[in-house]
Amino acid sequence: MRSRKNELHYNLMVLPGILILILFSIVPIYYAAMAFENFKPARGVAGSEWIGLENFTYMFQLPDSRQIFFNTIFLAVLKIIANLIVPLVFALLLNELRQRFMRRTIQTIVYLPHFLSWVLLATIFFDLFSLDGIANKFIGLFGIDPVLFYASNKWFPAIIVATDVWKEFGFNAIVYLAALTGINPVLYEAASIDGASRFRQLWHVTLPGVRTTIVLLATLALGNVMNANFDQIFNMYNPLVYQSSDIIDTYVYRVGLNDLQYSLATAVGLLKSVVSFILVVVSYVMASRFANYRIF
Amino acid sequence: MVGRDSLQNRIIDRTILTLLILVTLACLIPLLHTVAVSFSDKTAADAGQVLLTPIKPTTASYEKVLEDSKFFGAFLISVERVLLGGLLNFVLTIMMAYGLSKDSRQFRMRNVYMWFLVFTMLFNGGIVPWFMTIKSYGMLDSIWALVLPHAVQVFNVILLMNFFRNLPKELSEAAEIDGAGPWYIMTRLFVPLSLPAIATVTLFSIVFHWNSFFDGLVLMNKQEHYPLQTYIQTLVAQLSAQAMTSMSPEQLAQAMAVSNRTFNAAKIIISMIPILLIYPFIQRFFIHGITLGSVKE
Amino acid sequence: MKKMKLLTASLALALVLGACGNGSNGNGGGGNSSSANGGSNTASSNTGSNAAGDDGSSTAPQLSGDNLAYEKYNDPVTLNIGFKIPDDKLKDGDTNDNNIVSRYFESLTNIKVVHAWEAKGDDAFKQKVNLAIASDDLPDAVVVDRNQLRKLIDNDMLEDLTDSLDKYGSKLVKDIYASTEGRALADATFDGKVYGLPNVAIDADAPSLLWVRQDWLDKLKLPAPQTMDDVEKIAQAFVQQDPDGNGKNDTVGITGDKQVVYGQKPNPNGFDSIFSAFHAFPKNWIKDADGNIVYGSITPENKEALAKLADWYKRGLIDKQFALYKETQEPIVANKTGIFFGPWWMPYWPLADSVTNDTKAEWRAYAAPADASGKFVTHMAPVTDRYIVVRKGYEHPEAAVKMLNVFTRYERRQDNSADAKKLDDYAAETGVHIRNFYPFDLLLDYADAVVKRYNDVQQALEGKIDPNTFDPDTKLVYDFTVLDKENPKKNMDAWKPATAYAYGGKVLAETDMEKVYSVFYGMTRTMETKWTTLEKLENETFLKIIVGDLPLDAFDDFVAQWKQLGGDQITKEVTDAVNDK
Repeated sequence: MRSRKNELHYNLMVLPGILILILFSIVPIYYAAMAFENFKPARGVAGSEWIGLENFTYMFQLPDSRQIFFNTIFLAVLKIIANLIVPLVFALLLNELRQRFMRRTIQTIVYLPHFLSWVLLATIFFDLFSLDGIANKFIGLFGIDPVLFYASNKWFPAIIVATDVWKEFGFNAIVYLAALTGINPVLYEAASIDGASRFRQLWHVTLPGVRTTIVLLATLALGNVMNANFDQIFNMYNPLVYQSSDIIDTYVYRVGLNDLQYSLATAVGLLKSVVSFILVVVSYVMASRFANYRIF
Repeated sequence: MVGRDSLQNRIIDRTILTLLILVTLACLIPLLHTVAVSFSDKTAADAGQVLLTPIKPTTASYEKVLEDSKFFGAFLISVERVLLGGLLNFVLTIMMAYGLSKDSRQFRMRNVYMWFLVFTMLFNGGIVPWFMTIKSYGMLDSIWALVLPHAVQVFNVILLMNFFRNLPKELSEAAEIDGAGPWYIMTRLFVPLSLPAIATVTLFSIVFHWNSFFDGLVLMNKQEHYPLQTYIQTLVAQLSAQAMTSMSPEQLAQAMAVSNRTFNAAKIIISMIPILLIYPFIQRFFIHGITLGSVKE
Repeated sequence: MKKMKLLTASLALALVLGACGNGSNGNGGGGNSSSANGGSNTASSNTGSNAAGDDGSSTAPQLSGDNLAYEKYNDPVTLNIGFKIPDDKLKDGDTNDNNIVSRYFESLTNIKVVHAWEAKGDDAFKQKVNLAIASDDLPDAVVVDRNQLRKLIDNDMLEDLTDSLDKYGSKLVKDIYASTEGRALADATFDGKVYGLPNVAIDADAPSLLWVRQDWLDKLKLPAPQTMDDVEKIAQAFVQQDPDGNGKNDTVGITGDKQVVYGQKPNPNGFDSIFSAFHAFPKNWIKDADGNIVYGSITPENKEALAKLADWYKRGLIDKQFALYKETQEPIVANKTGIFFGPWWMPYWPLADSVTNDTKAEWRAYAAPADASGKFVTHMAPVTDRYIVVRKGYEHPEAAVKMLNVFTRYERRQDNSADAKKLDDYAAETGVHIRNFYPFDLLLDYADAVVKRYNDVQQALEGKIDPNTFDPDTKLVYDFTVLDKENPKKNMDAWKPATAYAYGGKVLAETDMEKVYSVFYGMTRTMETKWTTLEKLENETFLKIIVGDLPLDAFDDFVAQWKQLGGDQITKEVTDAVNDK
């Protein structure tokens, strides 16, 4: 049987990757069993005392936990919303631009930040938002006193969201741009003949044309509600702004690596994984039901 | 009919162009500023006088970086990591994506594998279990600790898989009738037809490996083994958490002001160069690659 | 910034003391030294040395005391450590794990130090240790902090060092531990076993003394300050009676710092002593009258101290501008003030600058103000905060002790070999800090070093002891004191130690102080996230009450708010941590 033989080969193609995933993604979950233990390093995961959900209940009693869950979701949701709207507006504007060369150049530039690391960008922004940085020079033009952005719980979350949008909006616009080019030109011609202004064309032709894409992206973004971007925050935050920007991932990092509370840290991380996984499954089901879209 | 060249339209066009140029500038300013700082005189930079043009232009900081053997050691490790990791990603991604692009009638295990992939993408044990895993394989402090755990990039696999699935089915059916085996079809038919998508995922994997810093920080035992981004991260993280907790805002501001600004800026610019070199060549591919990969009809 | 200044000051101290490399070895290295530590120790170390023929000392099984402590292994012993990477740039192709310092200590001990891992910076080092603990993969020996020590003891991952220290510890190391009256080792002891070799910091840095311009005091015919009222009168006179005699009304009262209090190791201008005179100990964890653990900044006594300070500020007895200076020492250096608070080492900095600007300035230290019963009260600083620990099962736990012996001997300037001199020269030539390349980032000094040196120098000046028997550090202070006596204020490098010891050291030596120790140092988990906020709230409230931006009753609001913002939770965690021990 030909197809059976092919199937063997398909398995062979997939297996090396699956093996890697088992070694590096599944085995750690074995060690993550310490979330249910009073983990003693000398006894290992296998030998430590099993205490069930005690670490989890302890976690919910901590005054910190509410704060970090709130910070995570707050920052993530703000980012999701901004990262849906800003790229859309940008794509709509770019779509109206006729000069091909300008279009090309703009695209090349705005995609670039996506490819730069947070390690580098954090250093750059640190400089920009310092007391004598460009940001303070700029607001100084309007007679505003310098602000210590990085030390302010009021400003710092805004900076986190803004710099994230700055980095990603161009790249996120790609999908919108593709959807925009997919709109049938005949629709615009018909609208023109009807005497519709460009604004009306935007409202009646362009936006309906990308509506599915918007809904789809919004749905898929649901999976990111617990994800406020470790790389960014780890590189940008400092103790003065823990209150407003300490997120689950950074908390797990500090509690696990600085405070020796391995079990607690792992429990928090595990909870986040479970919630994320559920959210992704939900968004997948929703996407396939409402947008008739299958991720895979 | 409202012509495209009416006055109103031209005003709108101008406004849009202006807005877009402003947005583009906003993207460039932080980078231009860093370039300006890197070429500026140290005292001017430390005093925060540099905006977008260098003050008393000098290449002193670049000369200083050239003398920094640790920087170039780290640079080379990053290059090694990108080459090894990129190659592994390339091979594994194509193989997995092709296998999984078959539907479940041709490949019954496919959906099981798919959910497994999604599970591993979202579920992780956290830092400490991850560290213990790598340690138990005896890979600490070696380049393999940076490369092997990331040998499968699930997101890239899904992207390329969707691209494969959008290629006409008749293609492989015809080849099979001609007696071609799955490996032949994959390498001779699908790969050549998917260059935009493959270029895209390769760019992603190169960028991923070049930009990773955290695993280097936790898994490497010697500074000489740090990849570039880790090395830069430790340079910049001189204001330790402990130091900062005991500082008043004024002191913090002062500590922030007196840094190695020009030197660090030069390091940042040099670390960006590889990305800047590769990215424009692949850019023309990836718009095509991403859209086809993420939008499954 | 403040940390930096303190560091600069103590570095200056170390440098001055270190400049003398070839004094006589006051230690003698006698074989009978261990008897100093009590008969039982000697007994156990004798039996120990017989039983220990297997660890390389087979050639001389009868060795004991410092001969054993500094004995070189016959066969090389490997010691894996975790190493904190310094910023210093080595030369001649030396590396972090093979350099002039490491080669020297290896040549002394035959211990081959291997870096199992290295980390740059305090945080990274701490994380590496924590990961090593989590994965049960400790290097043979490593420096840990208080929390890590407790975790390791809880998990039974450490080698008992009681016997190793007892038998192989040098006289110097043991003497230094003894100088803390047992507090250093008690910190690392659990169930009667020593699990870590602690560092020892100088005790003298904790009390904040009152420094006064004696020449002004004499001019205005004022008595030496003792009570709160005395301090008040002097401040008032210094503000109003033109003590510097320039005919201008340009002198200020007591200077302050915007941080208000320092809490553990003060720098210039802290009001710590005002608070402790009211038995308030802000920034320290103390036991209240009922034995409950409380945070020292929220006790009602603070309110009295704040009331006093606010009153003084209002009347101009405290420099009106104290919160505005960029550098807190500005008015001192400019000789605008003749009265401020600061620890014993003030002459090193900033007083040397004050005297350089006005050679008439005669600064004296006083243990003032006293509390209501006439006693000077002060908070203390932790004597130790880090420990060398040895992995359970390591075959040569004594190797860590021997390493500690040799680098402490070098650090305390008691190593007079030609090779040690080479290290000094290397340091002088390259600017490399030798101590950064010790295998363990952990320094030992006599807890009572300052008082001891002061007493010794005084006795020598009176001819009661021969200064040539001094250890190099003390000898140096003696020489400088003599030099400055012959030619006062001529050589400021001599004036600094001479004055610091003669007046600062004197007060410490002669005052019967009530010393209050904090019951807890370190961090709890909630502190990690909340402490910065709480500390900011505290600092701002204290400062604002003093300068009159807030009424005194704002203190009560602060206490309520502090508790609610996580203070209660932290107090509970601290109580648990203390009771746990």
